[in-house]
Amino acid sequence: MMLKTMNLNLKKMGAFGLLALIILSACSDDDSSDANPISDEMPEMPAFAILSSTFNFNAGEGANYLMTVNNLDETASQDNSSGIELPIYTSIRTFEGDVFHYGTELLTKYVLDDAGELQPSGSLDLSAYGGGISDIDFMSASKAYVTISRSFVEFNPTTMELIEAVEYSGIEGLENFQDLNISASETVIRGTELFSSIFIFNNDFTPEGTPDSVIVVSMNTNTNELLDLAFKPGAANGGDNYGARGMFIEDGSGDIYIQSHAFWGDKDTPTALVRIPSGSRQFDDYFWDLTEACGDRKTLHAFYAGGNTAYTKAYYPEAGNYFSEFAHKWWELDFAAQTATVMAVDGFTTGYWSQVGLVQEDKFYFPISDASTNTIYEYDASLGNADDPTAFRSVLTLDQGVLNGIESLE
Amino acid sequence: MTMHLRHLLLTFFCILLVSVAWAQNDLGSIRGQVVDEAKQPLPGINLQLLGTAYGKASDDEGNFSFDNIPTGNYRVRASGVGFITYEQDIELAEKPTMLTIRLEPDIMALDQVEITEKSVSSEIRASPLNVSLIDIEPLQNRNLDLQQALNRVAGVRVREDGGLGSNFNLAINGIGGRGVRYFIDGVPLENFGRSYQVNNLPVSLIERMEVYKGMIPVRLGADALGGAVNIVTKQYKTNYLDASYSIASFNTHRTAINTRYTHDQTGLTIGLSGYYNYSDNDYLVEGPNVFVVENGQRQPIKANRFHDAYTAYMGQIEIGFLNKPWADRLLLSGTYSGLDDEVQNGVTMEEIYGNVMEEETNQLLALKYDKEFSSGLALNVYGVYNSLTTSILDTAARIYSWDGSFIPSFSPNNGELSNFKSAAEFTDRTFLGRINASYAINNDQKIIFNALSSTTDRSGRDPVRFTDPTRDIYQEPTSLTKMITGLSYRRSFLQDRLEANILVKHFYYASLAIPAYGEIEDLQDYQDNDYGVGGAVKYKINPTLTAKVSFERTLRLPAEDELFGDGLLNQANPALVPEKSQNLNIGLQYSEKRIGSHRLSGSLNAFYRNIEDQILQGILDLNFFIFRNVREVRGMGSEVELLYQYEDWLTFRNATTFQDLRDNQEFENDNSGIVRKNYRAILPNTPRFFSFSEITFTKKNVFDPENTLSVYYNLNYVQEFFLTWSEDGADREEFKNTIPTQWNHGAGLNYSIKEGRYNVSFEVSNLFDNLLFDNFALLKPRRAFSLKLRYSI
Repeated sequence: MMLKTMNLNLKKMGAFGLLALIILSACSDDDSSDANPISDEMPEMPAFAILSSTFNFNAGEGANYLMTVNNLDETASQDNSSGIELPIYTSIRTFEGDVFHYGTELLTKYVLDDAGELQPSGSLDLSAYGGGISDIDFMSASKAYVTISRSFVEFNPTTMELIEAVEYSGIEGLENFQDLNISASETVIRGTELFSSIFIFNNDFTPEGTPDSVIVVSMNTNTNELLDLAFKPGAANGGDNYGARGMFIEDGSGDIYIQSHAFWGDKDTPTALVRIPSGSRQFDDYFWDLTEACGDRKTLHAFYAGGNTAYTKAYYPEAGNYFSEFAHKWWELDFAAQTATVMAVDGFTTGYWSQVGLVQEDKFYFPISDASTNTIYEYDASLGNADDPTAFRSVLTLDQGVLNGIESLE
Repeated sequence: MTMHLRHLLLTFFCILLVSVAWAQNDLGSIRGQVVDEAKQPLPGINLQLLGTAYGKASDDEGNFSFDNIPTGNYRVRASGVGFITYEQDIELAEKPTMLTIRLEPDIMALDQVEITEKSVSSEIRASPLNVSLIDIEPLQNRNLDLQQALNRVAGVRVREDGGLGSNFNLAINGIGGRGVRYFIDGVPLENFGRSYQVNNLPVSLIERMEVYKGMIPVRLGADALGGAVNIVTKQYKTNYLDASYSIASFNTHRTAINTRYTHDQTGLTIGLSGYYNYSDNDYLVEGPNVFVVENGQRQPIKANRFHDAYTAYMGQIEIGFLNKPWADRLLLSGTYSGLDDEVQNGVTMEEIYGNVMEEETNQLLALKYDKEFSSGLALNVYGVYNSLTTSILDTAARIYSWDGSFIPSFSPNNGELSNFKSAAEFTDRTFLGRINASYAINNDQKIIFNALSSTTDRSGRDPVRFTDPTRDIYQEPTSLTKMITGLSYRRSFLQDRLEANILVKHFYYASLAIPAYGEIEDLQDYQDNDYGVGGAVKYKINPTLTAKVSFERTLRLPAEDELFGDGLLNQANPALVPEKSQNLNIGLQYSEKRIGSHRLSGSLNAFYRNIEDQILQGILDLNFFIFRNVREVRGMGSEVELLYQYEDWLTFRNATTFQDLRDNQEFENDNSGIVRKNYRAILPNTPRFFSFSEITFTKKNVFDPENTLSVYYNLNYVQEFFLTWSEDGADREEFKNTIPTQWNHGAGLNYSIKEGRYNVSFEVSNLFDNLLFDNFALLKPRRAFSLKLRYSI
């Protein structure tokens, strides 16, 4: 009985709907029969995910806001009203159109719904393996690695299930450091091997033992067996747990370039680019003094653009505090020719909260900030060199907060 | 040199006042007795000669006397809890004037809190300042903390972290934290430790609390920014005993005793008081931050707090003399107090600890001297030495879950709070002295002078964290000296219908500290001084309606831990400058109006605050915090208090507040001229609308003419507010962090036998077991039952 009534109602509704459709079609100004009303109503799907930070270092308050951008256009501006409120000290990474938010012990995946809005879709709590997630490397739809203070953790990025954790305690050569704090940060995957830097520090957060060395752990990603340690005297890497994007670069030939930033520890140690050549798990003699190349300034975070080119930011101490003030400029690096060129864009970006960039389709997107706005610039190398202002244009202005993450959703 | 000059001036001023006082002649005296309608003597009634500094309390036989005072015309005022205030003009000649004052009962004040014109202190009541009085006497049978009583005052919001002994933040008209100063009998509770603070002192020790909003009177010589709470003990009662014990949910026990004996002939007085509070605080917690992790997945659970036990204790002995020719009061007291506090969680319940402990011991030696001289000069001198030792123990390399289980930390050298273990212990030694002198020039004019000086030095060590003593920053000496002087002048016009009060304050501080964490640098000394001014006017429009306006430009000096750090994650910043505020209050007070059996009174106030150089906790680097002068804040709001009573069995009261505080710093501090993003935005993490209501039914003659039963129900409401700036994430409100709307219901009954000698109370707090939050992701205690027994003579 109920079913019959329902069917009757459906028929009435269907007839009414058809009638309404005819009337609406008749009233339409657009007589084009080719118009497809369904496709017209489809929302434009976003092309970028961005993380905007309102954190105020001085007041100790603020948050991150995760939101999407349909395109990067010269005139666009955006506030935080559409953002998902998230904790500070966090970053984003994308993989196959999904956004992974991390930084605390919680790794959360966000997926786009039909309306083009991000929605949470599973999470992993990795508090048992370390204080904060440093980096993520995706190998496939079913395998990815996160680096965290005490372990590498393998998980399934589709199902957000934890697969396995590999602790550093099994690393031969680190026995002397087991009572100290060990922090893994930057990673890169070469073939089936994952390389990560490890930073060892004392209870007062000063580097322990070998601040002039890069420690690289290589592990076979098929068996999760820890394979090797590599040290590089005269360099210092690791320890930047926050948004550890860049710094480990695998070029097309299989060489791994490591930006040994030397920010933490011996102030006299220069930033350097060092290399683990293809087929090896140990450093070769390659050593490029980036501090000297960038006008006696240390650099941090390199974004690989292909070939021999990467972009990084250099710290200008005379401009202000590393963490909270606008004191960093962007540079282009050619690590074959070993030349560095400051980018022809006025202004600075902040160090800790806006040290992100994105290379996509031969363009580099990066932030320039001041006290009132945060602007995302596009550098198009096809229009000019890094010292040519015409190669740059602003593509998005954030009305509130500084850019703390920018990733492609494509 | 400047300090010496200041001290010399102070001494000279005091000598001058005393000389003027002794120079008076033609002295007389007033003697009498205060009785009730049945002609029974009334002890503890406040008697005051209006327009002068003379004030007394009647003794156990209701007797009082004012001796050696200048002849002339006076107006005597007698006031006390539960009685209608009485006033009488007298002409004092050289022979003694005898008075018998009969007070009529004030049925509106017979139960519960009195926060209106009808107060126990007529001088404060008549003040043009915006002040609310909380008479604690009717609350003595309840199982509550003093800070919870403060939530009943309009414009006041208390935010608690958890259960018994938890940290709390009280804000008055939007200014909270250290911007509010606490006093006990007019003496600032400076660095006396948590065990000697509002949330631990038993109600039986207290007579009333005075809540000043905006302008602070000169006699409370302190650097309060936006308000002050003065706790007044039962200092004028001469012989009494008050003992109580309560048992409550979460294994909570509270014992308090307060007694005094005074020998009539010699004036020798001995007082003993103390308390012991204990709670497991193991209430049930749940919600998004309460979970266990299984294979990387968070599984929500309900769990009892397992590391939150709290013990606090205090013992105090006071000995001295009362009513001697050379002193109205000379008292020497010694206090020993302390606490053991298990720390269960961090700033949210997502951070769980299982072994972190805070311990504290405090020794305090104080000397009080009061004397009213014959010519209208009154002196009040107070000196104290206090030694406060605080220990913070964080030595377990463990990571806990809410089910009580743990895993080893990432390094055996880690603590739970940070990447280092700590056993910091530091001692703050404070010398504090205050002299207060008031002089009544005549019936209409009075000047008050107040000088307060305090010096705190700190030393300590952390042998666990700094195995190398040369790196132990706590072993470096630090010190902070404050000196606050104030002078006010008060004058009445038009037969007291109009009163004006002006004041000026001078603030000076000097600190010696290490500038920041890191390698030990040279000690640096800083000093600064500034002035505050204020004025207040009261006009009595008609017998029931009074208008008040007050304004003050004041400042708050940086606190010890803001300058020196706290031994854990807060690092020192000796370069801090004082916070400053301009406070304006405008109000109307409507005193009691009777219409048949109905009575109504209330007040309506508006306030304005303009704060500069606000001190906030910011980030030093990735591991440590630091306090900085950050921004300007502008606040406005209004508050209303209502009291209604029907006959003598029904009372309803309400206190409602709306406040709007906004970031008022237009430009960045870098001289760039750039307008800041949050300029004029609503201040985050600040309640905007809240209200307290209570209804009480009282039945006398229950089983016996001397027995009274009262039943009450109250409701505390706080409107939801955002943790962050309201505009950010507004379209995705489901993800926005909020402190949710709070409906906190409470109810109880009290049965008093033999006119209050024996009392039994039963109370339920959080009646409907709601999930209550004052702060983001910090669940307050669930429904709790308590039973309290009290004996009082």
